[in-house]
Amino acid sequence: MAPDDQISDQEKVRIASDFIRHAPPGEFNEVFTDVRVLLNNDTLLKEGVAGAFALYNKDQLTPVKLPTSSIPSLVTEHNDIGGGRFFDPRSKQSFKYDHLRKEASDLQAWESDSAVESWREALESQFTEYTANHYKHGVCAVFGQSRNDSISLVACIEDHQFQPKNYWNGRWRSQWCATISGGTGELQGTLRVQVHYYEDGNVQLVCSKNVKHSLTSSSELETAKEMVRLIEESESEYQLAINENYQTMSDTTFKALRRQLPITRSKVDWEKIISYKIGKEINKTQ
Amino acid sequence: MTEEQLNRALDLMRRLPPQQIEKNLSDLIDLVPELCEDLLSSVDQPLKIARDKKEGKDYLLCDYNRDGDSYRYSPWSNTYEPPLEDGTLPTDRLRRLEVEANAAFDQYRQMYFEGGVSSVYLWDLDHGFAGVILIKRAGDGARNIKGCWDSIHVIEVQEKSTGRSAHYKLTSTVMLWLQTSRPGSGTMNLGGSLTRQMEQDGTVSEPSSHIVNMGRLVEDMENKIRHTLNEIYFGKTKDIVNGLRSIQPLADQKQKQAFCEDLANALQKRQGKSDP
Repeated sequence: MAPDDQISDQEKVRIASDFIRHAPPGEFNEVFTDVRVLLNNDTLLKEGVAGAFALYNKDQLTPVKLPTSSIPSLVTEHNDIGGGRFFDPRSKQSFKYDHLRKEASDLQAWESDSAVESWREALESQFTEYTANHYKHGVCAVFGQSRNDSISLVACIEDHQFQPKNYWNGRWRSQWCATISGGTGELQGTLRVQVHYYEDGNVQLVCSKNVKHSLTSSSELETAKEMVRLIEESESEYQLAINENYQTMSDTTFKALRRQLPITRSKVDWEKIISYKIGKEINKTQ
Repeated sequence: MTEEQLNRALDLMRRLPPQQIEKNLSDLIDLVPELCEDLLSSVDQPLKIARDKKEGKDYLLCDYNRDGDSYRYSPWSNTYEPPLEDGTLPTDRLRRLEVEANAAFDQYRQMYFEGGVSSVYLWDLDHGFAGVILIKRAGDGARNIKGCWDSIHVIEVQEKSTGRSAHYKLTSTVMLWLQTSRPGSGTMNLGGSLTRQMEQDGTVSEPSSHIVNMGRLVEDMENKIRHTLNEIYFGKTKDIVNGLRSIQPLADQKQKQAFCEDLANALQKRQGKSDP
């Protein structure tokens, strides 16, 4: 493509936004700076691409410290109340979130949905204990919403390890949605893991799995316990399956691609290889 | 500005998921068209296979055997596909070496990879020559796992004026792709590449000596990288995943740790008592 063949601003925004949204966990700032320099148009960046920052943070289930609370919350699509504000159901507050600085400010009181609050709190309590039990630095949040005949609950977990000095970053994200109506319900989960290793290279693990369970619900507490039991079972099963895959990939797939040594158990005899060719050449001229 | 942009572009390519290298590179070139040639020559992409219909053989495509929109295939015919009147071709002496190199590395490939495709392209430099040795090996999909290995070895050979020795500089990138989709683990995609550099002197008694020297260097390099790939892919990234979530309840682990500490203390006290 000749340098005069410029793409439209709209296409540039699409590309820049795509790059931002695919930043590996812990590397948003670096990707942002790269994109900023390459786009070379701060106005276009601010007007067209800013939406991508918010989408990225929500998709990553980004943890956020609240100045007025000792327990952090999460920035997700489920607690987005528009105007750059999110709510924390645990501390019953809403806050303004700066997507570039990753900071909360302007805390205000926030009223929860009373019709679903007892269910939400019961799940939050069980879920928080579960998170502390399996995720060393995990942050979780539980959201609830009531509709006409049903309630929906969303429980999210985020845990990450950022070690840029050692050239790696990793993040685990769990998102569980329950819809309960009458005495039954459905529990749906999306589990995602991403790891980036980049010392003299670029290696990434990208995993995702969807899970479904049916629920019977009785009391708030019993339902919450049942949900957490299913979640624990599913997540551990998933983690075991990932580990099993690693074993098969290394024992079977990788070995079949390239041997450690030829079948002779010694390195190639290069002199022999070229002498064979020379022999052939000499024979040809005769 | 363009040099900073190139650095930023390369930094971006090291961070975006390698599983979408081609799309990322294409988008990047659309965004900054002035960097097109620089990007194509500095960003490694998975190797593509093309077919020489005349010879009925496969060969590999990369930026090093591209001229404009045509690719040269070697060793089978040394012409461009689609045909290119002024396409860059190696000198006769280099072409002879190239034919030999392809045959030698073809055997190397068979001994280590037991399958796959390899291609070697050489081009002239002022005081020597350069080349790229390519290998592509796709897995057979056994156990429901798709795997693929791409080797891109770029070598620079500086021939000393005596003609009796040369200096070899090798930059190698190996790409390893593994993906599976199963009920238990959902979709799992582990892929990317590692790059290493090595250099070495070698004695040259005849033109074929270059092949021996390059061959040994490439072989040592690939063996080293294979070892590192094994450690990073199946060791490091796996450890990171298991560091994010613990299958065993952490409370149990804290109890176990406290128990071990108590036991150690009790043993120490007992030892203290029995000492004279």
